[in-house]
Amino acid sequence: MATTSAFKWPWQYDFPPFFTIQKSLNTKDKQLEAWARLVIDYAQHNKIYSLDIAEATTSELFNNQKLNRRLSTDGVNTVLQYLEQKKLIEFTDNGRTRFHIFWRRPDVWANMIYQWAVENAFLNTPLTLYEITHGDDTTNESFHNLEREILMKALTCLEDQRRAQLMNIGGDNEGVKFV
Amino acid sequence: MTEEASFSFWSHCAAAVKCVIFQYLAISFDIDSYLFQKTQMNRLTWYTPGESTEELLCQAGHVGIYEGDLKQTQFEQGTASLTMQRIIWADSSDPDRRLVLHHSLVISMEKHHKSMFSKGGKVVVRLEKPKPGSVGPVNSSQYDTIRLVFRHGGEDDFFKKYEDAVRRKTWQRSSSGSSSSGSRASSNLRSVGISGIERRLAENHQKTHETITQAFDDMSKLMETAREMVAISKSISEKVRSRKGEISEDETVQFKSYLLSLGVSDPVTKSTFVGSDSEYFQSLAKEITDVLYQHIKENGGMCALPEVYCRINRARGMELLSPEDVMNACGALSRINSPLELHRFPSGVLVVQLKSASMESTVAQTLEFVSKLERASANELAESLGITVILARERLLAAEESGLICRDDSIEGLLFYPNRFLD
Repeated sequence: MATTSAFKWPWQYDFPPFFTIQKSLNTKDKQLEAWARLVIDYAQHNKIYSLDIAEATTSELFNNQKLNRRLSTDGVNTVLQYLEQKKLIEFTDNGRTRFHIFWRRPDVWANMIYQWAVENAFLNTPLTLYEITHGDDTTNESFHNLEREILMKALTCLEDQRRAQLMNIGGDNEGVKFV
Repeated sequence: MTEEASFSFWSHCAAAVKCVIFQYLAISFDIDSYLFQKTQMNRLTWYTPGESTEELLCQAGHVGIYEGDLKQTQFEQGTASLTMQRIIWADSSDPDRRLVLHHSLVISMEKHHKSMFSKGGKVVVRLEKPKPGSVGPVNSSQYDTIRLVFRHGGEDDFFKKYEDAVRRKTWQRSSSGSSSSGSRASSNLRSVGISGIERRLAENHQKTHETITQAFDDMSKLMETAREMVAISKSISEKVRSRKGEISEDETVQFKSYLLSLGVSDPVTKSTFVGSDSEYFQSLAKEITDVLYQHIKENGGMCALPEVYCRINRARGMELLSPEDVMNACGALSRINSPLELHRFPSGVLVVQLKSASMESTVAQTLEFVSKLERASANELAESLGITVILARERLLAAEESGLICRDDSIEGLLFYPNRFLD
């Protein structure tokens, strides 16, 4: 979670009531909206693709040391439920301890990857998955270091649109061919 | 507070009076026993009340007490009661004429069965030499034995229990029942050891019981008197009203002030409105309005129901209202066109509030307060408005409900901020 440049916290982060889930329904909606935006922005800024709930609860995201306020475990769960409802996160296990954060939705990733492949003339050329996320050609792309599960989602998405062909999945040389 | 004080005062008085009576009785007992000193036996003593823990082991009727070999006795027929400490014999013809033979004087005993010639089964008891200073029927005797003759049987059981009681020597552990028997129990033994503690507990228990009984006597009398007092005050106020002309204005005023100092001069009571509850509650509602309007107006325009209950009963002094009646009366406020009304907060808290203090205006007022302080707790609002914390909290919650403020629930407590989420 190395921070490249200082993350700009929203004003709500310095507003103590932000760390108490509000009782009044209208207020609560606005609050959760703000939390959702904060979680996504924070993940995007720090290039976080997945988080552990226990880890998240203690991270600075839900803890404001300066105000001496933290969102309670129940509060975190409420926020995560809201995010899940909006399809911005997805739990990876049945125990709901870990979740993917889609600060870009898989189809958005898919478009970006396809765009990159078109621009760099990789169409009809088999590529390994490793090359896409960790290769030298993608160091400047936002999907560099993208988690495998999310990459797979994006590629499956492309395959459904008949713009890519997955090869050897589960084998040694997993690859994809953009068409 | 004052009620409690007077309560304990009365019970103390009662206890003191009882003490005096007991002492008087004890003295008269002693005098009686001196008057009876014309009979034979010297180990037997006149009866004095034993300790409260003395337990009856066995009782036999138609028992005579004979000294030595003598065939004549003054104690022909009576009831012998056996306890762990002594035998108490009570004359059948005069139950107040009672003798005591303490077990500590017994050296040995034997049982003689009923024969053809004797009048009944006998228990012969060999006794020690008398202790000096004992108060008994006679001061000297040539015999060392006493016969207990059981004319109607029962000697077997009595003998067995008597022997057992003497063998156990309980009087050495606990105090002697008959103070004048000169038993081995000395006065410092009375209050030591487990038996001493037990005895003291039993005494305290007895005393408490008496005090409570006495106190409740007083209470019921007080209640009766209170009823009369109300009746008197009512009749006086009626008289004052009807004879306005005859009594001078000054006197009337003075009289009224006396009555007022007792509380409401003419309280609305249920008995005057038999069978018409709603009318009764409406009159009560009127009374509540009169008593509380000024107070509520000056103190934040709101008053929680428990406070209403206390204030109205404080004002009445007597003929107190039940909580249910007060609540029903508050419900009737809206029917009598009173400036007050009963309001229920969403949390269930009931208040009597000014009709003019509608929810919108209080909510705006609350927001203003919170904005001024930037953040506020229920305590601060309560202090600022002179209302109770519960009411302040209700107001804050109402303002929160309408989205004007929002909460911050942390270890510092529940604070409220102006709602910036909805800006």
